[in-house]
This record gives sequence, C-alpha cells and structure tokens, in this order.
Amino acid sequence: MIECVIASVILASCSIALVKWTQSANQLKRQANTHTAAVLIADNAKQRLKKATLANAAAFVKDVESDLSKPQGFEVTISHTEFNDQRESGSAQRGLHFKITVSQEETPIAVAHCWNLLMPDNVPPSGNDPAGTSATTTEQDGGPVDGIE
Amino acid sequence: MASNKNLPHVNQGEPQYGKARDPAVTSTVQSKNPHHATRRNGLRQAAGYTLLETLITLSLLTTLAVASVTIINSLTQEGIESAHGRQSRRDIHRIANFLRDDAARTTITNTGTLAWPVTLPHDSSQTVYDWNETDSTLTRTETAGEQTTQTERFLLPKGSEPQMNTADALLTLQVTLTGGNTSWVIEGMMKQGESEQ
Repeated sequence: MIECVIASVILASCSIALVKWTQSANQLKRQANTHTAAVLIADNAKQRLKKATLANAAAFVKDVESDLSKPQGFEVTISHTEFNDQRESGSAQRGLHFKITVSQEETPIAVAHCWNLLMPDNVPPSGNDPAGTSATTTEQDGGPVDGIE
Repeated sequence: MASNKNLPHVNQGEPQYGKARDPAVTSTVQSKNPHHATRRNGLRQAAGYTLLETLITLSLLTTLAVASVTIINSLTQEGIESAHGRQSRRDIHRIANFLRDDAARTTITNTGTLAWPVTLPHDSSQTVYDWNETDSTLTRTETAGEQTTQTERFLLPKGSEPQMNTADALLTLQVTLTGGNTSWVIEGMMKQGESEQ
C-alpha cells in the first residue's frame, strides 16, 4: 500500500512539474513572439520615416502612427525633434530625430530611434531618400541609446 | 545405550541443530513472519513474494515507466519546438534585412497579394521567394541571368502563414503565427520607377 502511495505522489509531482514547465515555456514563447512583432513594427516605422522632411514631419508622423497602430493591438507613438548642430567649420547639420515607441497595454515593448539628416545647405541628396541620409538604432530592452547602428 | 532406544528421536523441548528434522515433528513449527521460510504439512516453502505482491510491483513499475517515457517525450518535444521558435525569431530579422534590400531594388509592377513563388525583378538580376509549408521554410534565391548567385533558407514558425503583398510602394511580408493573435510584419520601400502602376 505504501508503495502505491509513494508511486502516486511521484507521478503527480512529475505531472504537475511538466504542466508548469509547459505553461512557462508557452508564456515565454508568446512574449518572445510579441517582442519580435514589436521590434519589426518599429523597424517598419523607421523605414517609413525615411520619407519625412522638415516640412511634413508632424503630419507624416501621425500618418505612420495611425497606419502601424492598427494591427495586433500595438500602439505606436512617435515623437520627433528638429536638431541644428552648428559645426566649428561653419557648416550646420540639420535634421530630424524620431523616437518610436511600440507598446501594448501601455507597456513599452520596443523603443527605436532614427535620424533623418539633411545636407548642410538643406538640399536633399540625389536618390530615393528625400530627407537626406538616415541613421537608426533600436533599444531592445528599453535602455538609453548611446550609439548609432 | 539401551535406554536410548525408548527415547524419542527428537527432544521437543530443545532445538536439534545439525540433525535431520522429522517432518512429523517440525510441521507444527511456523514462523510469525510470512516472508520467512514456513513449513506446512512437512513441505518447506522458500522465502519470497506472493503473486499478488509481484503483480502490484510490476504494474507500478510499468506505470512509472510509461509516465517517465511520456514526460521525457514531452520535454524533448518542448525543447525541439523551443529551438524552432528561437531559430525562426532569428531568421525573421534576417528575412527583414534581405527583403528591405530587395524591395529597394525592385520597381513596382503590380499591387495586391502575390502568389508563391514571388519574383522580384531587379535591374540586372531577380530574387525569388518561395514558401515551403511542409518544412516551414522560406527560400530566397537570387539569380543573375542563368546563374544562381545566392540562396538563403529561413525557418518560420510551424503553422505560420506567410503572405507577401504590395501596396502604396510598400512590399509587405506578413507572417501570421499559429492562433492568429500575433503577426510579424516586414515592410520594405520599393523603388518607384516609370513602370509604376
């Protein structure tokens, strides 16, 4: 009789451990998939923001926010600032800095930054990028960004 | 010695070690422990387990073995799926890099959902994306003329349904994961040329 009880306890313990293990694994998998989706949305926003210029930045940002916020219940928030860096050589580096925040249920999941740099004389370079050169970076874990990719 | 003939063969009051035992006498000796040797009707019974005990033990061992195998199988399967998921999450970022690069070199030719395999024509080459549902892989093949210059194979989550479409100068790859709650979306800006429709 005691053997039956011990065997049953062992089996029950193993079953409970297996169920908990599986639940945790599924939860982690869902979180990882959600995080991947959020990072991809932030990357998509960066792609779209390459077309933003100083003139249309505000309206463009709103369009991108509304377009990317539609699917999957993510909320995309983009803040932008204009910068004008006066160099010692006398040339000015102007451009736009965008901060893209992808959140779900008011919890930020991915934060990315990108810059649209305009030429010193405000003439866009030739090619498909009307806003000039762009640089991007992504905060994977919500920390501050120190560099440019 | 003559008086010994009237004596019984075995002194019932004292044990007779080292001597042959009379079955008629020893039949009344029984051990209190059932696992110990017992003697009934003059036959000696060897120490051991009863059939019922053996059956119970075997059934318990069988149950434990089956449960162990099931648990190990589940853990192994979970590990395989976890590795598959990790690889697919890595690969979706690689796909994103390739797709955005390919889209920037592709002139818009048509809009809407594209059927697999999807061919993206470039100036001097073309890239073909093909979806293999059996092994959940997306293959990217770049060819220049008749020569294949690059082939890449990407793993996507099992049960996912990738779909590629073009709209508003955007090439979009949408991977709907199992359950449909989450989708991975990759957008690439396409080259806007004279052939835009």
